[in-house]
Amino acid sequence: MMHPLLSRIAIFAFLFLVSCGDSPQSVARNFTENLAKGRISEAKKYATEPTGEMLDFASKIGAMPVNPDFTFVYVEKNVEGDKATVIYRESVDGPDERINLVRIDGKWKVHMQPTK
Amino acid sequence: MFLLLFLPALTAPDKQFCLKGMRSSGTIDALAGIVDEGDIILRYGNGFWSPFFRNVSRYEKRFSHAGVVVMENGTFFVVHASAHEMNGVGCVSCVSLRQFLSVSSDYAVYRFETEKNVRWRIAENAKSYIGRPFDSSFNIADKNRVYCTELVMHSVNDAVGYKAISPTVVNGVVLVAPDDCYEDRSFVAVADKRLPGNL
Repeated sequence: MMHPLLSRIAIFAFLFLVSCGDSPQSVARNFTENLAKGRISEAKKYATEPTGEMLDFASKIGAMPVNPDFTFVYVEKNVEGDKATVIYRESVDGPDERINLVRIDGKWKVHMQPTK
Repeated sequence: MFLLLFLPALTAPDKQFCLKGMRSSGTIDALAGIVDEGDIILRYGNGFWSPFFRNVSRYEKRFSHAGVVVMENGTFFVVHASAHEMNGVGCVSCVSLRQFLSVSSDYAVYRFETEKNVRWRIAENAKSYIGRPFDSSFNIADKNRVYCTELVMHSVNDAVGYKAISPTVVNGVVLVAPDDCYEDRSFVAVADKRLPGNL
């Protein structure tokens, strides 16, 4: 039989992982890290269809910047219903970057449309 | 109607500029003293896709966005095509110089060296696109929807009478890169953030 303390730790760890598994910040992290390393197909798993199409377009013309030294530094998030914004940095002392997400069928997806 | 499309100027502090003929940095007002109707203004923005659009350029990977300087009631504005990052919806609009540069870390202004009336036509052409939807599919064949550099290309080429700006073809994709907008030898820089006072 599991020690009571261990079982509490296990439950806590389980709840922690469940709560973080599909959070806006974890999706933003997976998306940006894969993107920075040039793993477009993997990044698309965390993006909406229009954003994925834009990634394909960018990849096709070879214009997607790659940064092997990218580090996702979470700053804060703002969730309003099925929309969220995650603020992060590419390094500890880097400028704040913003990424938008939408919740589709219960799953957060990065949704960044081309703007300019 | 035209004025209704103007967006209010932001109140962010003035960016510092390094302008032609000026030894010290000035303000937006100083830039307004340099630019003229029909000038092409380019910036490097802070949006998510800015690095991508910068990378589209072949020769100078520096800018991510472009617009055309126009004048209305004695004040300079920028006509540009942009969209909202969340929904991709947007159109060609007219914003103040201050607003256009408020989200930039780099910029330059290029002038097509020709008669003033031709540059005036560049500006008028750009104004005629105001309200036209942003082209998020980047389809250069469809002039009913335009993206930023495409707007600049049509405005200039239709005014000067030849293809002063030609699109870039990358892996079969035809698009107008930021550096296409000033590659022609007729374009001269009149303001540039990287050239302090010695342009």
